[in-house]
Amino acid sequence: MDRNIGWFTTAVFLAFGGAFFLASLTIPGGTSTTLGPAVVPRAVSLMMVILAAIVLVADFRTRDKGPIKQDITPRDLLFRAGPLIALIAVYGQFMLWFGYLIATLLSGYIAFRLFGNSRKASALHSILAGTLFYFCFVYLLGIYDPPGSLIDMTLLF
Amino acid sequence: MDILAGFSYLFANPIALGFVFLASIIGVIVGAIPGLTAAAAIAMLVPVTYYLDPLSALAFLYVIGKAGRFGGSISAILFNTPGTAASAATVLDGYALTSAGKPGKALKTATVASVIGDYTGDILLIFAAVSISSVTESFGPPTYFTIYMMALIVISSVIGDSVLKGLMSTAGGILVAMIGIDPISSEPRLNFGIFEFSAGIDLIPLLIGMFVISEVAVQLRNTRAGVKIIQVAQSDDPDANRLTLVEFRRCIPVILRSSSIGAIIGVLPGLGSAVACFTAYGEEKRRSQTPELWGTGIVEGVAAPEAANNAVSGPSMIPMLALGVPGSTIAAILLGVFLIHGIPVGPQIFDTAHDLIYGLFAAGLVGIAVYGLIGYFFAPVIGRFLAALPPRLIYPYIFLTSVISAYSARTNVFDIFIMCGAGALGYLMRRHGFSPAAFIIAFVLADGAEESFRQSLLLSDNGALVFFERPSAMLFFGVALFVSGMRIWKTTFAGRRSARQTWSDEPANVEKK
Repeated sequence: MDRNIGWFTTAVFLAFGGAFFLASLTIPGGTSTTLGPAVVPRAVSLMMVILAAIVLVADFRTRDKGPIKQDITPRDLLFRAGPLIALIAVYGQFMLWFGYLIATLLSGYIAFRLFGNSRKASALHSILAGTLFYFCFVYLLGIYDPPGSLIDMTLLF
Repeated sequence: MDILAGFSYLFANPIALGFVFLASIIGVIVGAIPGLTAAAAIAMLVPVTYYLDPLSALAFLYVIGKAGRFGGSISAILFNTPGTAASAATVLDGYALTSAGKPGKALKTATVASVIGDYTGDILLIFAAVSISSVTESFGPPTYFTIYMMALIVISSVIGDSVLKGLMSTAGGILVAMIGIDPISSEPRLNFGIFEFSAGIDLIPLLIGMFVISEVAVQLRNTRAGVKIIQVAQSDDPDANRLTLVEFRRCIPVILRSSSIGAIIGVLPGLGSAVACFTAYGEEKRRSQTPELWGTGIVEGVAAPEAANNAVSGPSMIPMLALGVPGSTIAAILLGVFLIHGIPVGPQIFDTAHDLIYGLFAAGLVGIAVYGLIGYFFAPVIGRFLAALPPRLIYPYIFLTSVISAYSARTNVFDIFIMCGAGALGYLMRRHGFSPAAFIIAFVLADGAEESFRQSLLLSDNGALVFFERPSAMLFFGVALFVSGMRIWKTTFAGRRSARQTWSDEPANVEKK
């Protein structure tokens, strides 16, 4: 779990470039006199695939030759950064289901717990943050509160 | 005398003036939070400015950027953790002074140097931007394309650990910017069958994901790892916590030289405060008659990086105002805010929005004075306040603010998912030496670069030769090649020297064993 998987980022870039290159093949090309909308994305994505492949090969060839400044371990991805990033997606889904206030209360509680706060402190701060943010952003600034598809809190306010 | 008109325009708008004061306070506090940059703070607060008049909105964000750069020095000096990358060099002597029981002296030196540096940069901005814009008004699409190319090449070669990773970060930003609809043919492209991609990707969720969420994820790692702030006892000497006149006189030439270095670096796209602070620190240490004292806690070691990193602030706006090409992340966000308020950015801005621009310059000058006063008298209080706030409480609040900020940019829940993806990518990029800043700047520049490239070829009879017919275009290509060539030469030379060092060290190591 603690081995370095620093090559992972380059592999993500390789996949990223590959996906964009494949998608760029479906864009109509230009005519003999004009450049079409496909030229730049195709050229840049191809460049990214080539660069990522070079860096990936270099990473593997030099992996045991010296200390690596930035490290990524499976533990970081699965138990630290991963859950926090996943929480954003969950937060977004909660907003679609329950609207902003309930989504913030639920996701806020999980976020405070992720940072190691006690259950009581997490509950207290999530209620405080949810109320404060709702008042500032929705009530004062007038930002649209999306009605939840499962529970629509906008009917109450 | 236009700047006087700017002051009268600013003082005629008490709301804008109030936001300048508020921005100075917020900027210093946010900048002092370890890991949170001024750009991140601006990105989170952009939604607040949708409801303000253009001057209040722009002045608020611009001054947060300035005060945030200074705020980074507080945590660098007090906690041995630079609040922003721009204060990384300040740690060396700043924290050494704190360890010697002289945090007040270090903070006051940082404040004075930051204020003088920032004023130097702003004076250059006020005079140079107008002069440059009068020249650039005549530029056509081919020259603009070379300017965009120069910015992209310089950014990808100087930001980050390696040129290859810089290029990949830049290419990533360009590709994400291409999602949506082609600006010339209106053909949909790269939307991967997802309807929400048809409108393209908005800058704000991308920016918050790359800078704020990735930082919160890094801080979650640090919080779990139990990184602790060390408290240091203060000295009883009354001179220990003030900047004496003798020390101030010693610092003045250092501050002026470092401010000039910072101001020049600020004009070049992509280089930014972090490069400026280390360049100034290195240069002043080289010039010093006592280089062995640098790093042990001397006021010049605080003054040099702080003057340089704040001097970057004003000149980094020059490429955006004179050319419409943002040279920094903060300039990229401000460009977006200009557009939100219906103000097209480019050399013509000094004619079309004359009062607003000079009002903004005036706001910058007032903001420097305000954060200078806050820093001089209240920096230790802010430090103590932040030390008392546990990171386990600060970062969840930042996380929740990020989500509502990303959503409110277009009131679209899909933007939260965009921020999620950007946060994951930003985290991986930061952990492995890629550059989120290059990614974001390339994202902002990509549309203009592609448009000017294709327009140039449409207008041209000579095909690609159109880019080599104009001396101004050749000049920008030349600058790009020079800067990237220098970087490649430097990394190759340094790499070979380090390899030779390793080879020459190895037999000695073997013998010792």
